[in-house]
Amino acid sequence: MVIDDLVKRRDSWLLAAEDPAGIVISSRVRLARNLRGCSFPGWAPEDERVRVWQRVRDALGDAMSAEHPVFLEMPELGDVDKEVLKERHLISREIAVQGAGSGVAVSPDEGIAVMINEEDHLRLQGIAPGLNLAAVWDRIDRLDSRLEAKLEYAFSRRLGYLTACPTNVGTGLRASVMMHLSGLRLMDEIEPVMKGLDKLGVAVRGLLGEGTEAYGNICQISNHSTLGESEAAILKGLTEVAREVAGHERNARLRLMQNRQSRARDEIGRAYGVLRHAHVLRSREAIDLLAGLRLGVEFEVVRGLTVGDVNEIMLLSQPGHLQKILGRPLEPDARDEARAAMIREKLSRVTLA
Amino acid sequence: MKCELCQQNEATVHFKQIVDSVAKELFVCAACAAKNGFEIESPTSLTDFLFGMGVQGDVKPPAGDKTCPACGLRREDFDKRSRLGCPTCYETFEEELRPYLEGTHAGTRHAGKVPATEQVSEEIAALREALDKAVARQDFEEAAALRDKVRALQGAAAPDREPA
Repeated sequence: MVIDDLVKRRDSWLLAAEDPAGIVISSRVRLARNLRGCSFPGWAPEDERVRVWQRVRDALGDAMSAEHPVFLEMPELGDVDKEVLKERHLISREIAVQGAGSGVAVSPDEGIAVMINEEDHLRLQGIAPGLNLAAVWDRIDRLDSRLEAKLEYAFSRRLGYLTACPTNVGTGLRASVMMHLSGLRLMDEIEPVMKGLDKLGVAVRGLLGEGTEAYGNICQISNHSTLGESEAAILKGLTEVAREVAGHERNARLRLMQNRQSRARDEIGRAYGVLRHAHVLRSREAIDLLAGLRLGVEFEVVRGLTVGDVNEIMLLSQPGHLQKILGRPLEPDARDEARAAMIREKLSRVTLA
Repeated sequence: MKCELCQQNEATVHFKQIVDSVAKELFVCAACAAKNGFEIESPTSLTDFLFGMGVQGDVKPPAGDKTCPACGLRREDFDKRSRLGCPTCYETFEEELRPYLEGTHAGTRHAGKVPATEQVSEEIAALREALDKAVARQDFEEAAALRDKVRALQGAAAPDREPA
């Protein structure tokens, strides 16, 4: 692989715009699993981690044989490769700094990524565009059932699947939905919605997962509790919450166009102006402006661009993808120039209504 | 007067304690007093005595000294890392984890997926019990049938399991 192919593909779920309104970007399901009788990766000596990697890799090779997964071990990857995988949500920041015995198995459609020896022995991730938790769960659940016949999981009747961090014990299930909430932000209503979510036991995080900021008006909502509820109940609960938040967002966008049209048009116009003409663009600034542009596409103010195109530009403007496309490592200042040039080129035929 | 605990020896030790302005009394023999860790010379409370928490009773070691027998993780390691060392840590640090789990999660008992192998082991346990009963009442025909079922399930539980 593969990493070189990844950055060029145009059929990835990352570029898909399942939700026509562009509010729900993607649905993700993650299962944490560990092997009975082995120390958790963060506490295990390297030789044990390497043995676990071999065992799990063999079992995964069988269980995912129909998917033809690609295995990538961390030490064989360069820094830019790792950045690309992080930006595509295939690996975490935590695993990127691990050594021998840590890696990932990725299905060619990128819908499944199994991290081996991250915080837990296995982190099975399923991801798909739009609000689709049930379908994503189904795919991961089936993979998990095939794996449990080959690997003996650490499981207790009372506490369920045992995980390195007690916040994941039980189902080991973290479901999350990534949403684009520009309307709520421009109507200054995002705070009360976030507070309400907290009371419902739903966690809110930024674009790149745990501990990251919600920039580009993109945030992830996920279940907090993993013990005491069934997988079906967790997924149903989060789906309902995501629908409700999407409803608030739709409502906010309607009122935005009715009552604060100038503010919305200003946000879109400024985003377009800077992106179309800037020569130096920092990563964070680009993402914030692209969120404004995205809103313009959704409001049909921006012509000649789809939500999928915006998703692609967002992805390609991140440091790893940018360097991979240009084929060489770049210092941050050079990246900001390359980013601006790439975006100018992509928007050269885009106009405002 | 007989000892209120063993009901055999003569009561020679008299406890008296005021709890919420009500006097609680207990008459016990010297043997029971000693067995429950009460020293005549040292002050102790009735509750401590009755619930086996007397001065010579099992005093819990400070929490920081606890170490997981399977992986060697100490309580202080967990405090530092917020991560456990191995699956056995959940038993080792059960007490310490309980309030944490109660505060974090919707419940304290797993209510989700169970690995197929675990489901089978529960079925096997039930069949074994029935098998023991059948043997006890000398119903060997039934016992043989149950034994075959257990064997079939044991075979199905681990079709191509790799050695752990």
